[in-house]
Amino acid sequence: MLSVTNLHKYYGDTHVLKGIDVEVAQGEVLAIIGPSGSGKTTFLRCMNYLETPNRGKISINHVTIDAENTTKKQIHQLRQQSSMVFQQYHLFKNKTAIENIMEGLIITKKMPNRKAEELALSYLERVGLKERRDAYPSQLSGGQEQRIGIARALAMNPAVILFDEPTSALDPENVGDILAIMRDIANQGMTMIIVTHEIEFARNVADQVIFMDQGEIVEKGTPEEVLVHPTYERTKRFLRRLHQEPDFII
Amino acid sequence: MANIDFRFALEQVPEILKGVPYTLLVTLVAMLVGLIIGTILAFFRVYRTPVLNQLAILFVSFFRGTPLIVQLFVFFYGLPRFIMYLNDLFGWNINPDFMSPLVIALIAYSINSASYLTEVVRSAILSVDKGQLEAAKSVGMTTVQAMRRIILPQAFVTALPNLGNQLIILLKASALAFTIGIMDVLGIARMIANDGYHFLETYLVAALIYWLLAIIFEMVFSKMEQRSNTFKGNVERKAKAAI
Repeated sequence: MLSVTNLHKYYGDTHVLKGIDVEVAQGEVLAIIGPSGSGKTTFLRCMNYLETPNRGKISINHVTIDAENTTKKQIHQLRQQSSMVFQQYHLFKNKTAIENIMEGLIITKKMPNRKAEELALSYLERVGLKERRDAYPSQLSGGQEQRIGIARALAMNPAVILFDEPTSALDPENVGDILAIMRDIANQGMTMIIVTHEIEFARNVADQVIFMDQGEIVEKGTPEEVLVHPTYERTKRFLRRLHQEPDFII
Repeated sequence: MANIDFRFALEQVPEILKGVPYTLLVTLVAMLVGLIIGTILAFFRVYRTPVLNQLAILFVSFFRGTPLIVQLFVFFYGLPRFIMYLNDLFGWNINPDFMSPLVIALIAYSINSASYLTEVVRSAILSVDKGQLEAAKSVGMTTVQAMRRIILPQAFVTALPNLGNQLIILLKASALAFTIGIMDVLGIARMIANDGYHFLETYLVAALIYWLLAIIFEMVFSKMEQRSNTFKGNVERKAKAAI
């Protein structure tokens, strides 16, 4: 359903993605873990061309794009196959909660206003924020903003949802809520790619885990293989460090 | 000099008020056209469009760097001649007289205000978080759609205080239009003052009229700012502070 072959990305002279290959089947959840600077977020952002890769192929559904030879139209088509949940939420600040969800439906999907509102409301209900429909993002808490962010991504009914560290900016007490919603979405068969530091969550929810370091995939497999019995020293070291890390650093 | 002739001043008010439509016309047209041109040039600047970006920089530098009154004179003497030149060049037959002083003033003020507003709009667009554009693209919008529906509305709110400033500066600068014969508030006041030798009285009336207009503009803008602040959450913050 989604496949990436030999993806390369350079920032100037720095080679940040060194030939990434990934296959994700319909309904599968892929978790990407790795230290900061490993290129995992860059890789995720290449999936919908928020970053432009320099070489390689990306194919989602029936849209295939060759990084060395793209048109604006192809990029636009590729983007419509996915939606994204951001670390910093990035809700439209000039739109209310419900308008945030309706925006893509009206503009991209050309849905009539009435229908978009109905649909948006059902997604608001799904993330438990129906009563906040007319609140602006600045009037919502971080956890609420991220729930709207997820509802916005879901409403587009994409082939795959990309999650970029969706809980990293949240207060600890809100993390559980968001993860529960994500698990719920996964259980309903949505294809998901999740960049995360929540190892427990990846272990319980993901079908496939990738460990990335320094722009390449070090290890790839089931959560059991990568997270419990890693083969490579780099993976072991990363997981050890993660377990040692205190909850708070002052 | 010692005593001001209030009766004379009062009698002149209706006459001087007849200049208000011209003052407002020059001010508002310059604001609106300046904002449109300024927004277009701001996009050339933000996206660093080759050639057009450099031309925009040159444009802003020239029209911010030369006195408005000099620009007025250059347009006043230059525009009709420019039209005659075009006539010669292309064999057209445009009557340069359609460039009345009013048309020339509207053009000059619009271009002058465009040069300031380019920078106002540019900085406002840049102040919008980059994530907003990314989020818009992530739900499948094109850059143009994202600009229109997400970025520009937010930039406009950021720019509001500066736009209000610019409008009041324009209002006062419009008084210079008398130099090319526009009968705006100052134009009429000058005429009356010269006729009746009541300089102080007439100019005081003119000053009060400008001040009144400025106060109205300020009130309109503060209302607009209050409204647009809703999405910044100021309303709720104020509500919390009140409790």
